[in-house]
Amino acid sequence: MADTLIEGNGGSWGPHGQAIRDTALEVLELANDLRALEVLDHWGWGVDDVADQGDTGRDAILRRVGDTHRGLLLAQEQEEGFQLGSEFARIPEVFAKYAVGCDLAGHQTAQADLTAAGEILTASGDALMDPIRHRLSEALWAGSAADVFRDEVLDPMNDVGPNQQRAIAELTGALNGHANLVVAAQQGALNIATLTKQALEAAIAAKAPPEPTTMFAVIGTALAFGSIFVPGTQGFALVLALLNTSLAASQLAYTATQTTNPQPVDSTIGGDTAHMIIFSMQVALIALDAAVTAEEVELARKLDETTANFEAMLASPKRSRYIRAARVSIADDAPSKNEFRHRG
Amino acid sequence: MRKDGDGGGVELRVDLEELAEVGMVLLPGLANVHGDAARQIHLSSRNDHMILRTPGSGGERSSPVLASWKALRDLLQQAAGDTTVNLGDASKGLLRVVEMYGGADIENQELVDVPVPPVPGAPLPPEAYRPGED
Repeated sequence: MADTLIEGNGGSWGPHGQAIRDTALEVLELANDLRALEVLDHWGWGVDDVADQGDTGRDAILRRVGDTHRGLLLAQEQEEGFQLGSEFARIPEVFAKYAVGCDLAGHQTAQADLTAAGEILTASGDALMDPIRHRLSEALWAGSAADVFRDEVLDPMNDVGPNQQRAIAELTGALNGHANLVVAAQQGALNIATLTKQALEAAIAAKAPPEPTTMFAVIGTALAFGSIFVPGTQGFALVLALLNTSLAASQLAYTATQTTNPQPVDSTIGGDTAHMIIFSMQVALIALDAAVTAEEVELARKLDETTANFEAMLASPKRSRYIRAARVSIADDAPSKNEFRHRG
Repeated sequence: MRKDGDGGGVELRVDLEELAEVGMVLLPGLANVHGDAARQIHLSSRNDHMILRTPGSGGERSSPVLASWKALRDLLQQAAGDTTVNLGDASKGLLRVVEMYGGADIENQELVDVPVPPVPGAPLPPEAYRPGED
């Protein structure tokens, strides 16, 4: 039998749902903070002006820049095509889809039903078959009907229960595998949110952008080796491939940003660091989605393979009797009354 | 079982009570067990609408695993159900065999009980002679 499903999933939030939501809100605040620093530090804004405010939405920023700079900020926004405080507004929504809809109660109920079916089938083994064999032996029943009954029904029934139990094990195994994937995807999303948060905090504290290579290495390590995907599976390979590709893309984007957006002389944070970090986060989430899809496809492929084997056996008159009891017409094969001369 | 009879012919010996017990009690019992298993497998479908949702979809998309999982589950349920029905038919078949054995016995017994008609020219059996009737 397959292992027991993970318990304590905490309803539709799943085991990490609320942590994902909370961390995503922190990421939003920090991204806005860092972005505000990047845009406003040449007006004398410092870390203390943006950090720990708890509200870095657009209205709050406009209120805090004051009348002196509001016009200048609006003009800069107009010219460069952005709106401070609203650029990262979708972050909570992006993470929400990983935070909710992770109720595993249905998995657990289905697994309990199937496990019960497997246990019932165990009872159909020797405990029930032995008395039948014994009675038939005692009855001294022989002839064509007896042969048909023994060859097509009784003997193959030894395999019917175990074969049906194997299918049950496949089904419960798939439920387990998918439940593990749900939890792993949540863990992956939480890791990404946490690492993004840490990268933003580090950039704000150091007044310097983290090296993109370092950040991607951290996220890649968390995704690929954080017990989320088993090395050797499609999901694992896909994660690595995507991260390698995105790392190169990010480095290019980072270089381009530094080149095209020269900062004021007194700026301590170069380039569009907040966007770069959030871009890294988005790539990591894309990699996570791709890995999840690959794992799901693999789970489905295994089930399809078992189903195909099952169907092939059922289609064969000789083999189907080992998956379900054979349909026989013993009465047609029974000896006619003219064959009898005496019964002792 | 075929066995040499005293007269050099072949006779069939079957214990109908044993055979009847298999057909009336033991095989239906086995069929019931598989019926219970089929019902339990069917029960697992009650949460089909909420299981196997794609992670990262907020529970809105069903996973591609769901269709494959249901296909195998339904096939298994069908096999378990067929096993129940077919074992039930097999038990009926056995009872039909018992019936036919029983019918043959009665007919054979009647044949034994009917006096053998005289063959022309053959001597009459001893019971044909009654003292005082000559």
